[in-house]
Amino acid sequence: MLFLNEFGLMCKWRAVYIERCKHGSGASIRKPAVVTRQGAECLAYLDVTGSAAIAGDAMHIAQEISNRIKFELGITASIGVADNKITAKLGSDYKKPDAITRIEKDNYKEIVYPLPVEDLLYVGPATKEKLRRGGITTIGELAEAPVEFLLHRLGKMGVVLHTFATGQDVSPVQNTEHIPTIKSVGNSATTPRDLINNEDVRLMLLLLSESVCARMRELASRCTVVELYVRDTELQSFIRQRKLATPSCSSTELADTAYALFLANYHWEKPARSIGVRGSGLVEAYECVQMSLYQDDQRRQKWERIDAT
Amino acid sequence: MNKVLDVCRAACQTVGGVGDRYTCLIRGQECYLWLEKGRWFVAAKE
Repeated sequence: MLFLNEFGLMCKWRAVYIERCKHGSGASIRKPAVVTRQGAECLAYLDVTGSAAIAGDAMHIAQEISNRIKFELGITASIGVADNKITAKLGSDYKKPDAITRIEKDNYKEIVYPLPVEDLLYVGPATKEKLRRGGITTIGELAEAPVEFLLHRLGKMGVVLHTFATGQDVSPVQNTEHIPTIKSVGNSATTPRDLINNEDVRLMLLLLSESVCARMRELASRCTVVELYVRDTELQSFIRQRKLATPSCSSTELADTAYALFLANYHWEKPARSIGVRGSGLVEAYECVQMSLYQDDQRRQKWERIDAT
Repeated sequence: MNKVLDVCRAACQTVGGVGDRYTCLIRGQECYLWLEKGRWFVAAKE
């Protein structure tokens, strides 16, 4: 039995980054951890700043965690030790499956700079391609690129990525109980058979919008932006979004907006395989709404009441 | 069995399996018994 487990440990206000498998026991990491945040079922960050006096320095803690995981669970862990989360994650990916990598100021450039830029968190295929066109292929090149250039190329994410590449991320390790605020509610489905005409799509959008709106009502919120996702039989997909004139949680309105987006953007070159609707820019349902001179607000409220029943 | 010397959570490194490991003294010899989800097992000897 071998599941890949990973760790990362941060030093200045040291945090450990751990990935562990589904079957892993939380007990083995509880002792040295001060604050943990589990990004997924098999990983966690640990801020061990406050544990240094009791459990020794970050490397010592990492070694203890690694040993205990091996002994108690019979699986291996790879751990990164650094002074911020992003570098700790890099460290845990650096050597696998059973290793501890320390990346701090003294060896940062030596280890991180030659790595390909896609090893950095938030650099996916699209960003990688954009950076490559700008002549950036390694993290070192990204770190040394002028911020204005990145801002121009990638927008505000360019600045964020530059901060990550230079190892200056300052985001704190969140507690495990931390629940992030919900920013959007969406639902998508791959249909049993491909969608071949507008009528099929309209039906699916209505179905999806209803479940999306039911969830929004549970959260006592309305959305201000409707997002449509379509993927065709060649698995090519796109997302289009439109802002609503007033916040809404009416399934008919969401479906209508998504349908209009679909008609404007899909040209039926191929049948559609999956489709999704998302309501984003959530606002509280009881927040004051600007009344409109032209729109039929009473009609909207009626529809929302019908949906709610 | 003469005595249970120790109980701890551990993985069996030779045959796999994870659970509570009982270190037992049986006829003067130390050996491990594992309890995994209500089932007992011992590591097979080579």
